[in-house]
Amino acid sequence: MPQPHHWPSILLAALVPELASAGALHVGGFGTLGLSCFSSDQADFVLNVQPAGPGRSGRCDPRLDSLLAVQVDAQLTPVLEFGLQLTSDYNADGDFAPEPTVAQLRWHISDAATLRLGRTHNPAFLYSESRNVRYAMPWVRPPLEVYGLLPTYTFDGAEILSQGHWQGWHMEFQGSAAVADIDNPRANATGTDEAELKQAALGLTLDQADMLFKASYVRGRVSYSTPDLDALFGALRSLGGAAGASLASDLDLDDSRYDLFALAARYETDRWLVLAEYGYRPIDDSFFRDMQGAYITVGRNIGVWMPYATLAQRWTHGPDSDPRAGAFAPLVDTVLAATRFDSRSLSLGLSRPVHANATLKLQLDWIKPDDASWGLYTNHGSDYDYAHPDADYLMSINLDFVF
Amino acid sequence: MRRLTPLRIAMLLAGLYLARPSAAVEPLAVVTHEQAALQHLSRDEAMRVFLKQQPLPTAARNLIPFDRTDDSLRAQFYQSVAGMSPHRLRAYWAKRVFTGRGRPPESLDANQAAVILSHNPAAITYTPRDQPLANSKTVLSIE
Repeated sequence: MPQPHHWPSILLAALVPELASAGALHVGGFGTLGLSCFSSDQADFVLNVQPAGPGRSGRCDPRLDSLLAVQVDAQLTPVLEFGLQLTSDYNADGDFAPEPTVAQLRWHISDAATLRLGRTHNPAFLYSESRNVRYAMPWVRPPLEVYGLLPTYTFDGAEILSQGHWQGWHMEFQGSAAVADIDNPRANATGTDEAELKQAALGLTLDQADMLFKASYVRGRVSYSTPDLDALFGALRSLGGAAGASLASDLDLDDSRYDLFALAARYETDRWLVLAEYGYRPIDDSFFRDMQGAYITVGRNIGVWMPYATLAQRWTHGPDSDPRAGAFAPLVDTVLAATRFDSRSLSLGLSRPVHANATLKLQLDWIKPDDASWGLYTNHGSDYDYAHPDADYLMSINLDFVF
Repeated sequence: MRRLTPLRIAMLLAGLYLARPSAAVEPLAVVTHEQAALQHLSRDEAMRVFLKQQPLPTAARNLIPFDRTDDSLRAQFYQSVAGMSPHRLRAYWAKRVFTGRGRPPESLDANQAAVILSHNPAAITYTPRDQPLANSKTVLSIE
Protein backbone atom coordinates (compact mmCIF):
# COMPACT_ATOMS: atom_id res chain seq x y z
CA MET A 1 0.00 0.00 0.00
CA PRO A 2 1.58 3.33 -0.97
CA GLN A 3 2.17 5.78 1.85
CA PRO A 4 0.10 9.01 1.65
CA HIS A 5 3.19 11.12 0.97
CA HIS A 6 3.88 9.00 -2.13
CA TRP A 7 0.51 9.75 -3.74
CA PRO A 8 1.59 13.03 -5.41
CA SER A 9 4.50 11.20 -7.05
CA ILE A 10 2.23 8.40 -8.28
CA LEU A 11 -0.32 10.88 -9.65
CA LEU A 12 2.38 12.80 -11.45
CA ALA A 13 3.99 9.62 -12.83
CA ALA A 14 0.64 8.68 -14.35
CA LEU A 15 0.31 12.10 -15.97
CA VAL A 16 3.90 12.52 -17.13
CA PRO A 17 3.74 10.87 -20.59
CA GLU A 18 0.68 12.87 -21.68
CA LEU A 19 1.97 16.18 -20.30
CA ALA A 20 5.43 15.70 -21.71
CA SER A 21 4.04 15.15 -25.17
CA ALA A 22 1.93 18.31 -24.78
CA GLY A 23 4.99 20.35 -23.82
CA ALA A 24 3.40 21.25 -20.49
CA LEU A 25 5.99 19.63 -18.25
CA HIS A 26 8.98 21.42 -16.75
CA VAL A 27 11.71 19.57 -14.89
CA GLY A 28 14.47 21.26 -12.93
CA GLY A 29 16.30 21.04 -9.68
CA PHE A 30 18.86 22.40 -7.30
CA GLY A 31 21.38 21.17 -4.85
CA THR A 32 24.39 21.77 -2.66
CA LEU A 33 27.60 19.84 -2.35
CA GLY A 34 29.13 20.85 0.95
CA LEU A 35 31.71 20.07 3.57
CA SER A 36 31.75 21.58 7.05
CA CYS A 37 34.26 21.26 9.88
CA PHE A 38 33.49 22.31 13.46
CA SER A 39 36.14 22.97 16.09
CA SER A 40 34.10 21.70 19.04
CA ASP A 41 34.52 18.19 20.36
CA GLN A 42 31.80 18.75 22.98
CA ALA A 43 28.73 19.09 20.73
CA ASP A 44 27.53 18.82 17.11
CA PHE A 45 26.46 21.69 14.90
CA VAL A 46 23.29 20.69 13.04
CA LEU A 47 20.57 22.22 10.91
CA ASN A 48 17.16 21.97 12.54
CA VAL A 49 16.26 18.28 13.03
CA GLN A 50 19.42 16.58 11.83
CA PRO A 51 20.54 13.89 14.31
CA ALA A 52 24.29 14.56 14.02
CA GLY A 53 26.70 16.95 12.41
CA PRO A 54 30.26 18.15 12.41
CA GLY A 55 31.83 18.48 15.85
CA ARG A 56 31.66 15.83 18.54
CA SER A 57 30.42 13.14 16.13
CA GLY A 58 33.30 13.86 13.74
CA ARG A 59 35.38 16.92 13.03
CA CYS A 60 34.21 17.29 9.41
CA ASP A 61 30.90 16.26 7.90
CA PRO A 62 29.55 16.64 4.34
CA ARG A 63 25.98 15.97 5.47
CA LEU A 64 25.26 19.35 7.10
CA ASP A 65 24.42 21.23 3.89
CA SER A 66 24.57 18.66 1.10
CA LEU A 67 21.26 18.09 -0.63
CA LEU A 68 19.69 17.39 -3.98
CA ALA A 69 16.18 18.30 -5.12
CA VAL A 70 14.25 17.67 -8.30
CA GLN A 71 11.10 19.58 -9.17
CA VAL A 72 8.48 18.79 -11.79
CA ASP A 73 5.84 21.36 -12.71
CA ALA A 74 2.96 20.22 -14.87
CA GLN A 75 0.53 22.62 -16.55
CA LEU A 76 -2.72 20.67 -16.38
CA THR A 77 -4.98 23.37 -17.86
CA PRO A 78 -4.40 27.08 -18.57
CA VAL A 79 -5.30 27.88 -14.94
CA LEU A 80 -4.36 24.68 -13.15
CA GLU A 81 -0.84 23.52 -12.38
CA PHE A 82 0.69 20.76 -10.29
CA GLY A 83 4.14 20.96 -8.75
CA LEU A 84 6.16 18.25 -7.07
CA GLN A 85 9.55 18.79 -5.44
CA LEU A 86 11.44 15.85 -3.99
CA THR A 87 14.37 16.69 -1.73
CA SER A 88 17.07 14.38 -0.49
CA ASP A 89 18.90 15.83 2.49
CA TYR A 90 20.22 14.57 5.80
CA ASN A 91 17.03 14.11 7.79
CA ALA A 92 15.85 13.28 11.32
CA ASP A 93 16.06 9.55 10.61
CA GLY A 94 19.74 9.90 9.78
CA ASP A 95 19.43 9.08 6.08
CA PHE A 96 18.95 10.86 2.76
CA ALA A 97 15.61 9.33 1.81
CA PRO A 98 13.87 11.73 -0.62
CA GLU A 99 10.80 13.48 0.77
CA PRO A 100 8.23 15.64 -1.01
CA THR A 101 8.99 19.22 0.03
CA VAL A 102 6.44 20.62 -2.42
CA ALA A 103 3.39 18.73 -3.69
CA GLN A 104 0.74 21.21 -4.59
CA LEU A 105 -2.10 21.95 -6.93
CA ARG A 106 -1.98 25.60 -8.02
CA TRP A 107 -5.17 27.23 -9.23
CA HIS A 108 -4.49 30.58 -10.85
CA ILE A 109 -7.79 32.23 -9.97
CA SER A 110 -6.79 35.41 -11.78
CA ASP A 111 -3.64 37.06 -13.11
CA ALA A 112 -2.85 38.18 -9.58
CA ALA A 113 -4.25 35.48 -7.31
CA THR A 114 -3.30 31.83 -6.84
CA LEU A 115 -4.73 29.22 -4.51
CA ARG A 116 -2.31 26.44 -3.58
CA LEU A 117 -3.48 23.18 -2.04
CA GLY A 118 -1.20 20.47 -0.71
CA ARG A 119 2.31 20.53 0.68
CA THR A 120 3.87 23.93 0.84
CA HIS A 121 6.54 25.77 2.79
CA ASN A 122 6.22 27.77 5.95
CA PRO A 123 6.24 31.38 4.73
CA ALA A 124 7.47 33.01 7.96
CA PHE A 125 10.89 34.32 6.98
CA LEU A 126 12.34 35.86 3.85
CA TYR A 127 14.06 32.66 2.70
CA SER A 128 11.82 30.12 4.44
CA GLU A 129 10.17 28.95 1.26
CA SER A 130 13.46 28.67 -0.60
CA ARG A 131 15.60 27.69 2.40
CA ASN A 132 17.02 24.72 0.48
CA VAL A 133 17.75 26.72 -2.68
CA ARG A 134 21.11 27.91 -1.38
CA TYR A 135 22.05 29.12 -4.86
CA ALA A 136 19.47 31.90 -4.41
CA MET A 137 20.73 33.12 -1.02
CA PRO A 138 23.90 34.93 -0.01
CA TRP A 139 25.08 32.52 2.72
CA VAL A 140 25.90 28.82 2.87
CA ARG A 141 22.74 28.42 4.96
CA PRO A 142 20.20 30.76 6.55
CA PRO A 143 21.24 32.04 10.01
CA LEU A 144 19.92 29.56 12.59
CA GLU A 145 19.48 32.27 15.21
CA VAL A 146 16.40 33.40 13.27
CA TYR A 147 15.47 30.49 11.01
CA GLY A 148 15.62 28.03 13.92
CA LEU A 149 12.87 29.89 15.77
CA LEU A 150 10.35 27.79 13.86
CA PRO A 151 12.33 24.84 12.50
CA THR A 152 9.35 23.26 10.75
CA TYR A 153 9.25 24.17 7.12
CA THR A 154 6.92 21.89 5.19
CA PHE A 155 3.22 22.04 5.95
CA ASP A 156 0.14 20.48 4.38
CA GLY A 157 -2.81 22.75 3.83
CA ALA A 158 -4.10 25.64 1.75
CA GLU A 159 -2.42 28.90 0.82
CA ILE A 160 -3.56 31.95 -1.07
CA LEU A 161 -1.09 34.23 -2.85
CA SER A 162 -2.21 37.61 -4.10
CA GLN A 163 -0.11 40.21 -5.88
CA GLY A 164 -0.74 43.89 -6.33
CA HIS A 165 0.86 47.21 -7.12
CA TRP A 166 0.78 50.31 -4.97
CA GLN A 167 2.66 53.58 -5.48
CA GLY A 168 5.38 51.84 -7.46
CA TRP A 169 5.70 49.00 -4.95
CA HIS A 170 5.05 45.40 -5.94
CA MET A 171 3.11 43.68 -3.15
CA GLU A 172 2.55 40.04 -2.37
CA PHE A 173 0.08 38.93 0.25
CA GLN A 174 0.29 35.40 1.56
CA GLY A 175 -2.23 33.63 3.79
CA SER A 176 -2.21 29.98 4.77
CA ALA A 177 -3.69 27.40 7.12
CA ALA A 178 -1.81 24.15 7.46
CA VAL A 179 -0.69 21.25 9.64
CA ALA A 180 2.61 19.42 10.01
CA ASP A 181 3.96 16.30 11.71
CA ILE A 182 7.71 16.38 12.20
CA ASP A 183 10.15 13.91 13.66
CA ASN A 184 12.57 15.31 16.19
CA PRO A 185 15.68 13.21 16.91
CA ARG A 186 16.63 12.49 20.51
CA ALA A 187 20.03 13.84 21.46
CA ASN A 188 22.79 11.29 21.96
CA ALA A 189 20.38 8.48 21.21
CA THR A 190 18.65 6.68 18.44
CA GLY A 191 15.01 7.26 17.65
CA THR A 192 12.79 10.25 17.16
CA ASP A 193 9.79 11.83 18.81
CA GLU A 194 6.99 13.40 16.82
CA ALA A 195 5.74 16.96 17.07
CA GLU A 196 2.36 17.98 15.69
CA LEU A 197 1.71 21.54 14.60
CA LYS A 198 -1.24 23.38 13.15
CA GLN A 199 -0.95 27.02 12.22
CA ALA A 200 -2.28 29.94 10.26
CA ALA A 201 0.12 32.44 8.70
CA LEU A 202 -0.16 35.88 7.14
CA GLY A 203 2.60 37.62 5.24
CA LEU A 204 3.03 40.80 3.27
CA THR A 205 6.04 41.48 1.05
CA LEU A 206 6.71 44.87 -0.55
CA ASP A 207 9.46 45.36 -3.07
CA GLN A 208 10.55 48.21 -5.27
CA ALA A 209 13.74 48.23 -7.31
CA ASP A 210 16.48 47.64 -4.72
CA MET A 211 14.37 47.57 -1.57
CA LEU A 212 12.30 44.79 -0.08
CA PHE A 213 10.32 44.56 3.16
CA LYS A 214 8.46 41.60 4.57
CA ALA A 215 6.26 41.25 7.66
CA SER A 216 4.76 37.95 8.81
CA TYR A 217 2.57 36.74 11.60
CA VAL A 218 2.02 33.10 12.49
CA ARG A 219 -0.35 31.71 15.10
CA GLY A 220 -0.35 28.01 15.81
CA ARG A 221 -0.64 25.17 18.27
CA VAL A 222 1.97 22.51 18.93
CA SER A 223 2.06 19.18 20.75
CA TYR A 224 5.27 17.34 21.54
CA SER A 225 6.26 14.78 24.10
CA THR A 226 9.02 12.32 24.85
CA PRO A 227 9.01 9.33 27.21
CA ASP A 228 11.24 11.23 29.69
CA LEU A 229 9.00 14.30 29.68
CA ASP A 230 5.86 12.18 30.03
CA ALA A 231 7.40 10.43 33.03
CA LEU A 232 8.31 13.74 34.71
CA PHE A 233 4.93 15.37 34.11
CA GLY A 234 3.16 12.17 35.25
CA ALA A 235 5.16 12.18 38.50
CA LEU A 236 4.40 15.86 39.06
CA ARG A 237 0.70 15.22 38.60
CA SER A 238 0.52 12.13 40.80
CA LEU A 239 3.06 12.97 43.51
CA GLY A 240 3.41 16.73 43.45
CA GLY A 241 -0.01 17.68 44.79
CA ALA A 242 -2.08 20.50 43.34
CA ALA A 243 0.99 22.68 42.76
CA GLY A 244 2.78 19.89 40.90
CA ALA A 245 -0.26 19.19 38.75
CA SER A 246 -0.56 22.88 37.95
CA LEU A 247 3.13 23.05 37.01
CA ALA A 248 2.86 19.91 34.82
CA SER A 249 -0.04 21.48 33.01
CA ASP A 250 1.97 24.67 32.44
CA LEU A 251 5.04 22.84 31.15
CA ASP A 252 3.39 20.13 29.10
CA LEU A 253 3.63 20.91 25.38
CA ASP A 254 0.12 19.73 24.61
CA ASP A 255 -1.81 21.82 22.09
CA SER A 256 0.19 24.83 23.33
CA ARG A 257 -0.26 28.10 21.49
CA TYR A 258 2.69 29.77 19.79
CA ASP A 259 2.97 32.98 17.83
CA LEU A 260 5.65 34.26 15.54
CA PHE A 261 6.23 37.85 14.52
CA ALA A 262 8.83 38.31 11.82
CA LEU A 263 10.21 41.35 10.04
CA ALA A 264 12.68 41.47 7.16
CA ALA A 265 14.34 44.23 5.17
CA ARG A 266 16.70 43.92 2.23
CA TYR A 267 18.61 46.45 0.16
CA GLU A 268 20.27 44.86 -2.84
CA THR A 269 22.06 46.36 -5.78
CA ASP A 270 24.71 44.94 -8.04
CA ARG A 271 27.25 46.33 -5.58
CA TRP A 272 25.75 46.12 -2.12
CA LEU A 273 23.63 43.74 -0.12
CA VAL A 274 22.26 44.71 3.27
CA LEU A 275 19.85 42.24 4.77
CA ALA A 276 18.30 42.00 8.23
CA GLU A 277 15.62 39.86 9.83
CA TYR A 278 14.07 39.73 13.26
CA GLY A 279 11.77 37.12 14.73
CA TYR A 280 9.96 36.88 18.06
CA ARG A 281 8.32 33.59 19.01
CA PRO A 282 6.36 33.56 22.28
CA ILE A 283 4.82 30.27 23.41
CA ASP A 284 2.21 29.53 26.11
CA ASP A 285 2.08 26.58 28.49
CA SER A 286 5.31 24.93 27.55
CA PHE A 287 8.71 23.98 28.88
CA PHE A 288 9.98 25.85 25.82
CA ARG A 289 10.30 29.55 26.51
CA ASP A 290 9.78 32.72 24.52
CA MET A 291 12.59 33.34 22.07
CA GLN A 292 13.74 36.02 19.72
CA GLY A 293 16.45 36.12 17.11
CA ALA A 294 17.96 38.65 14.76
CA TYR A 295 20.73 38.99 12.22
CA ILE A 296 22.19 41.52 9.87
CA THR A 297 24.20 40.69 6.75
CA VAL A 298 26.30 43.09 4.72
CA GLY A 299 27.84 42.03 1.43
CA ARG A 300 29.76 43.84 -1.28
CA ASN A 301 30.23 42.67 -4.86
CA ILE A 302 33.80 43.17 -6.04
CA GLY A 303 33.96 41.92 -9.58
CA VAL A 304 32.77 38.34 -9.46
CA TRP A 305 33.50 38.00 -5.75
CA MET A 306 31.14 38.81 -2.93
CA PRO A 307 32.60 38.99 0.55
CA TYR A 308 29.93 39.20 3.23
CA ALA A 309 29.58 39.32 6.99
CA THR A 310 26.68 38.33 9.22
CA LEU A 311 26.13 39.15 12.87
CA ALA A 312 23.41 37.08 14.54
CA GLN A 313 21.99 36.52 18.00
CA ARG A 314 19.38 34.38 19.73
CA TRP A 315 17.76 35.24 23.07
CA THR A 316 15.57 33.15 25.40
CA HIS A 317 13.20 34.63 27.98
CA GLY A 318 11.74 32.71 30.88
CA PRO A 319 12.34 31.38 34.39
CA ASP A 320 15.06 28.85 35.17
CA SER A 321 13.08 27.27 37.99
CA ASP A 322 9.58 27.12 39.47
CA PRO A 323 8.69 27.02 43.17
CA ARG A 324 5.83 24.59 42.48
CA ALA A 325 8.33 21.87 41.55
CA GLY A 326 8.97 20.92 45.21
CA ALA A 327 11.02 17.74 45.43
CA PHE A 328 11.16 17.57 41.64
CA ALA A 329 12.99 20.89 41.39
CA PRO A 330 16.29 19.41 40.08
CA LEU A 331 14.46 17.61 37.27
CA VAL A 332 12.26 20.61 36.40
CA ASP A 333 15.29 22.92 36.42
CA THR A 334 17.05 20.53 34.02
CA VAL A 335 14.10 20.55 31.64
CA LEU A 336 13.91 24.36 31.73
CA ALA A 337 17.65 24.65 31.18
CA ALA A 338 17.44 22.25 28.23
CA THR A 339 15.58 24.82 26.16
CA ARG A 340 17.99 27.71 26.63
CA PHE A 341 19.72 28.17 23.28
CA ASP A 342 21.07 31.72 23.60
CA SER A 343 23.95 32.20 21.23
CA ARG A 344 25.83 34.73 19.13
CA SER A 345 27.69 34.30 15.90
CA LEU A 346 29.81 36.27 13.49
CA SER A 347 30.09 34.82 10.00
CA LEU A 348 32.53 35.87 7.33
CA GLY A 349 31.98 34.53 3.86
CA LEU A 350 33.07 34.76 0.27
CA SER A 351 31.04 33.66 -2.72
CA ARG A 352 31.83 33.46 -6.40
CA PRO A 353 29.82 32.22 -9.38
CA VAL A 354 31.91 29.49 -11.00
CA HIS A 355 29.40 28.71 -13.73
CA ALA A 356 26.16 30.23 -15.00
CA ASN A 357 24.29 27.88 -12.69
CA ALA A 358 26.72 27.29 -9.85
CA THR A 359 28.18 29.36 -7.01
CA LEU A 360 31.06 28.46 -4.73
CA LYS A 361 30.82 29.73 -1.16
CA LEU A 362 33.27 29.69 1.69
CA GLN A 363 32.04 30.67 5.15
CA LEU A 364 33.69 30.85 8.55
CA ASP A 365 31.39 31.12 11.58
CA TRP A 366 32.57 32.18 15.00
CA ILE A 367 29.91 30.85 17.38
CA LYS A 368 29.64 31.63 21.09
CA PRO A 369 26.79 30.22 23.17
CA ASP A 370 25.92 32.52 26.07
CA ASP A 371 26.74 31.45 29.61
CA ALA A 372 24.13 28.97 30.89
CA SER A 373 23.10 27.94 27.40
CA TRP A 374 23.29 24.82 25.24
CA GLY A 375 23.81 26.95 22.16
CA LEU A 376 22.33 25.97 18.81
CA TYR A 377 23.91 22.52 19.05
CA THR A 378 22.94 18.95 19.77
CA ASN A 379 24.57 15.74 21.03
CA HIS A 380 26.36 17.55 23.86
CA GLY A 381 29.03 15.58 25.65
CA SER A 382 29.41 15.40 29.42
CA ASP A 383 32.37 17.78 29.12
CA TYR A 384 30.26 20.55 27.55
CA ASP A 385 30.59 23.50 29.93
CA TYR A 386 26.97 24.67 30.17
CA ALA A 387 27.85 27.46 32.63
CA HIS A 388 30.60 28.93 30.46
CA PRO A 389 30.58 27.43 26.96
CA ASP A 390 33.59 27.95 24.72
CA ALA A 391 33.53 29.85 21.46
CA ASP A 392 33.99 27.61 18.44
CA TYR A 393 34.57 27.87 14.71
CA LEU A 394 32.59 26.31 11.88
CA MET A 395 34.17 26.31 8.43
CA SER A 396 32.05 25.45 5.40
CA ILE A 397 32.79 25.18 1.72
CA ASN A 398 29.75 24.65 -0.47
CA LEU A 399 28.98 24.44 -4.15
CA ASP A 400 25.37 25.53 -4.76
CA PHE A 401 23.83 24.77 -8.13
CA VAL A 402 20.59 24.76 -10.08
CA PHE A 403 19.71 22.83 -13.19
CA MET B 1 62.96 45.24 -6.19
CA ARG B 2 60.25 46.99 -4.22
CA ARG B 3 58.78 45.24 -1.24
CA LEU B 4 55.13 44.22 -1.48
CA THR B 5 53.58 45.99 1.47
CA PRO B 6 49.87 45.52 2.30
CA LEU B 7 49.24 49.08 1.05
CA ARG B 8 50.90 48.33 -2.31
CA ILE B 9 48.94 45.09 -2.66
CA ALA B 10 45.68 46.94 -1.94
CA MET B 11 46.54 49.66 -4.49
CA LEU B 12 47.43 47.01 -7.06
CA LEU B 13 44.13 45.18 -6.54
CA ALA B 14 42.18 48.45 -6.69
CA GLY B 15 43.96 49.37 -9.91
CA LEU B 16 43.17 46.01 -11.48
CA TYR B 17 39.53 46.36 -10.41
CA LEU B 18 39.16 49.88 -11.81
CA ALA B 19 40.97 48.95 -15.02
CA ARG B 20 38.71 45.99 -15.78
CA PRO B 21 37.07 46.14 -19.21
CA SER B 22 33.48 47.37 -19.20
CA ALA B 23 30.83 45.89 -21.48
CA ALA B 24 29.89 47.90 -24.53
CA VAL B 25 26.45 49.44 -24.25
CA GLU B 26 24.27 49.60 -27.33
CA PRO B 27 20.78 51.07 -27.69
CA LEU B 28 18.02 48.49 -27.33
CA ALA B 29 14.41 48.36 -28.40
CA VAL B 30 11.57 46.49 -26.74
CA VAL B 31 9.40 45.29 -29.61
CA THR B 32 6.00 43.70 -30.20
CA HIS B 33 4.04 42.55 -33.21
CA GLU B 34 3.45 45.51 -35.52
CA GLN B 35 -0.33 45.17 -35.14
CA ALA B 36 -0.35 44.76 -31.35
CA ALA B 37 -2.65 47.14 -29.50
CA LEU B 38 0.16 48.14 -27.12
CA GLN B 39 1.73 51.48 -28.10
CA HIS B 40 4.16 52.25 -25.30
CA LEU B 41 5.75 50.70 -22.22
CA SER B 42 7.66 52.42 -19.45
CA ARG B 43 10.85 50.83 -18.12
CA ASP B 44 9.05 49.87 -14.93
CA GLU B 45 6.27 48.21 -16.92
CA ALA B 46 8.81 46.40 -19.10
CA MET B 47 10.52 45.14 -15.95
CA ARG B 48 7.21 43.83 -14.60
CA VAL B 49 6.37 42.12 -17.90
CA PHE B 50 9.71 40.33 -18.18
CA LEU B 51 10.00 39.50 -14.47
CA LYS B 52 6.35 38.37 -14.56
CA GLN B 53 5.32 40.54 -11.63
CA GLN B 54 1.54 40.55 -11.57
CA PRO B 55 -0.73 42.39 -11.92
CA LEU B 56 0.39 43.95 -15.18
CA PRO B 57 -0.93 47.19 -16.65
CA THR B 58 -4.14 46.57 -18.63
CA ALA B 59 -2.49 47.14 -22.00
CA ALA B 60 0.27 44.66 -21.15
CA ARG B 61 -1.88 42.02 -19.47
CA ASN B 62 -1.87 39.50 -22.32
CA LEU B 63 1.72 39.93 -23.40
CA ILE B 64 3.99 36.88 -23.59
CA PRO B 65 7.61 37.91 -22.94
CA PHE B 66 10.47 36.15 -24.70
CA ASP B 67 14.10 36.41 -23.60
CA ARG B 68 17.05 36.27 -25.96
CA THR B 69 19.68 33.55 -25.97
CA ASP B 70 22.46 36.11 -26.51
CA ASP B 71 23.98 36.41 -23.01
CA SER B 72 25.35 39.94 -23.44
CA LEU B 73 22.09 41.22 -24.95
CA ARG B 74 20.04 39.71 -22.15
CA ALA B 75 22.44 41.02 -19.52
CA GLN B 76 22.28 44.55 -20.93
CA PHE B 77 18.48 44.46 -21.10
CA TYR B 78 17.98 43.39 -17.49
CA GLN B 79 20.67 45.76 -16.27
CA SER B 80 18.81 48.59 -18.04
CA VAL B 81 15.23 47.88 -16.99
CA ALA B 82 15.69 46.18 -13.62
CA GLY B 83 19.24 47.01 -12.52
CA MET B 84 19.92 43.29 -12.19
CA SER B 85 23.15 41.49 -12.99
CA PRO B 86 22.95 38.06 -14.66
CA HIS B 87 23.71 36.38 -11.32
CA ARG B 88 20.97 38.30 -9.51
CA LEU B 89 18.55 37.50 -12.31
CA ARG B 90 19.33 33.77 -12.10
CA ALA B 91 18.90 33.86 -8.31
CA TYR B 92 15.58 35.70 -8.77
CA TRP B 93 14.26 33.01 -11.10
CA ALA B 94 15.64 30.15 -9.00
CA LYS B 95 13.66 31.50 -6.07
CA ARG B 96 10.51 31.96 -8.18
CA VAL B 97 10.68 28.58 -9.90
CA PHE B 98 11.37 26.52 -6.81
CA THR B 99 8.67 28.23 -4.75
CA GLY B 100 6.10 27.64 -7.48
CA ARG B 101 5.70 31.29 -8.43
CA GLY B 102 6.40 31.05 -12.14
CA ARG B 103 8.99 30.35 -14.78
CA PRO B 104 11.34 32.66 -16.69
CA PRO B 105 10.46 33.67 -20.24
CA GLU B 106 11.48 31.26 -22.96
CA SER B 107 14.74 32.25 -24.69
CA LEU B 108 14.95 32.72 -28.48
CA ASP B 109 17.72 33.51 -30.92
CA ALA B 110 17.27 36.31 -33.46
CA ASN B 111 15.69 34.11 -36.12
CA GLN B 112 13.28 32.48 -33.69
CA ALA B 113 12.37 35.87 -32.24
CA ALA B 114 11.56 37.22 -35.70
CA VAL B 115 9.34 34.23 -36.48
CA ILE B 116 7.51 34.32 -33.14
CA LEU B 117 7.02 38.07 -33.33
CA SER B 118 5.57 37.97 -36.84
CA HIS B 119 3.11 35.19 -35.95
CA ASN B 120 2.06 36.01 -32.41
CA PRO B 121 0.51 39.45 -31.69
CA ALA B 122 0.98 38.87 -27.94
CA ALA B 123 4.74 38.28 -28.18
CA ILE B 124 7.17 40.87 -26.80
CA THR B 125 10.96 40.77 -26.80
CA TYR B 126 13.98 43.04 -27.09
CA THR B 127 16.63 43.56 -29.74
CA PRO B 128 19.54 45.88 -30.53
CA ARG B 129 18.11 48.98 -32.20
CA ASP B 130 20.38 48.48 -35.20
CA GLN B 131 19.07 44.91 -35.67
CA PRO B 132 15.29 45.43 -35.97
CA LEU B 133 13.05 42.38 -36.19
CA ALA B 134 10.68 42.02 -39.15
CA ASN B 135 7.00 42.89 -38.64
CA SER B 136 7.70 44.51 -35.28
CA LYS B 137 7.20 47.89 -33.67
CA THR B 138 9.11 49.51 -30.88
CA VAL B 139 7.23 50.17 -27.63
CA LEU B 140 10.25 51.21 -25.54
CA SER B 141 13.63 52.56 -26.54
CA ILE B 142 16.53 52.04 -24.16
CA GLU B 143 19.64 54.13 -24.67
